[in-house]
Amino acid sequence: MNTKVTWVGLILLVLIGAVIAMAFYFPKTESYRGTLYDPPLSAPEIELTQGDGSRYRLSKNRGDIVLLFFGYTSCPDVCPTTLSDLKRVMEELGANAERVQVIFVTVDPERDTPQKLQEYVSIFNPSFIGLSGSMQELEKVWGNYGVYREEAQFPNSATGYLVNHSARLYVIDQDGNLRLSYSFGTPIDDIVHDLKMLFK
Amino acid sequence: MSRVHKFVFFAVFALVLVACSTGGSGEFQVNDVWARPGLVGGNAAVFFVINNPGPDDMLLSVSSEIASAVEMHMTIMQDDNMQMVPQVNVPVPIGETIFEPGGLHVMLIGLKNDLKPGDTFTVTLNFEKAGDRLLNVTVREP
Repeated sequence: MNTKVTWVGLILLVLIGAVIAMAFYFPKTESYRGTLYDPPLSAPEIELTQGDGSRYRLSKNRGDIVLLFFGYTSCPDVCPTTLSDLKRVMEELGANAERVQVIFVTVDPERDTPQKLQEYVSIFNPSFIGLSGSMQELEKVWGNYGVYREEAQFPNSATGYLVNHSARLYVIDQDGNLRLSYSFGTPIDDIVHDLKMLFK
Repeated sequence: MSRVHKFVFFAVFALVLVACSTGGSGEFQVNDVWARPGLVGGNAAVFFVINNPGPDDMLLSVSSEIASAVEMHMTIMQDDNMQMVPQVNVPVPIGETIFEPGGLHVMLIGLKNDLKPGDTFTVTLNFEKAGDRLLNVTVREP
């Protein structure tokens, strides 16, 4: 009886030891904190006008990580909050920030010229690019990225109209794939964590 | 002290404690006042924290010389979509009312000057009971 108990105890000990050893030997795989596109989707091309009047193509940024956000310069809250977060993300990335391009596409082409957009995003970081275009060009981009955008009229407000819009931040990886997205207010640390994983 | 007296004494003491812990304490204050940078002709937002020791109040209007128009707005997030809704007035119950990014904010429409980090300007809040409060706003780094 006693021998049997001893054997069972020994086997249990060996099993527990093996589990602990495996946990140390095979480190836990890290996972992304944003919403992962699995499998990644090929990011639709974006071709719009930038502040100096030249044309921007998303495919030109192949090899870099692109952080893509849709907003407008008259938006005083969610858009500057996101741009401010992205400024801090770039600071946290240090030298790796050179391999990241922030793109801000307008949802309000009537008021946002490419020049005005560029001036606005440069307040946050001169490397950020603001893009606008014709309604037809923009509708194609909004549609390709599933961006909701609707003008809301407020006759009693001096704003004239406000634009309700999607507030997600998209990450396009070095291979041109739509890889991750984040909801508004995602902690900066989570975004930095995921970008560092993409750099590996 | 009779039993009834003791009961009344402790009941009053307990009520005072409850009043002190649930109601705001001190005087009516507006703190942590700041704004983001903005460009002339554009918009910006002002954020702050109101501490109201009581009674319940109401923010009726806002004004400033820094912009063509000044309004109270609320950002509402619904299924990842952002919408801003102008507010006619904002209830200010006892305790803290926070104007913060992604929520309530004072919207400056049509800035008369660029707002750069370190710049200061004033905004007046008009409360139903607390009256006018002049805020010194500092523009923070973006």
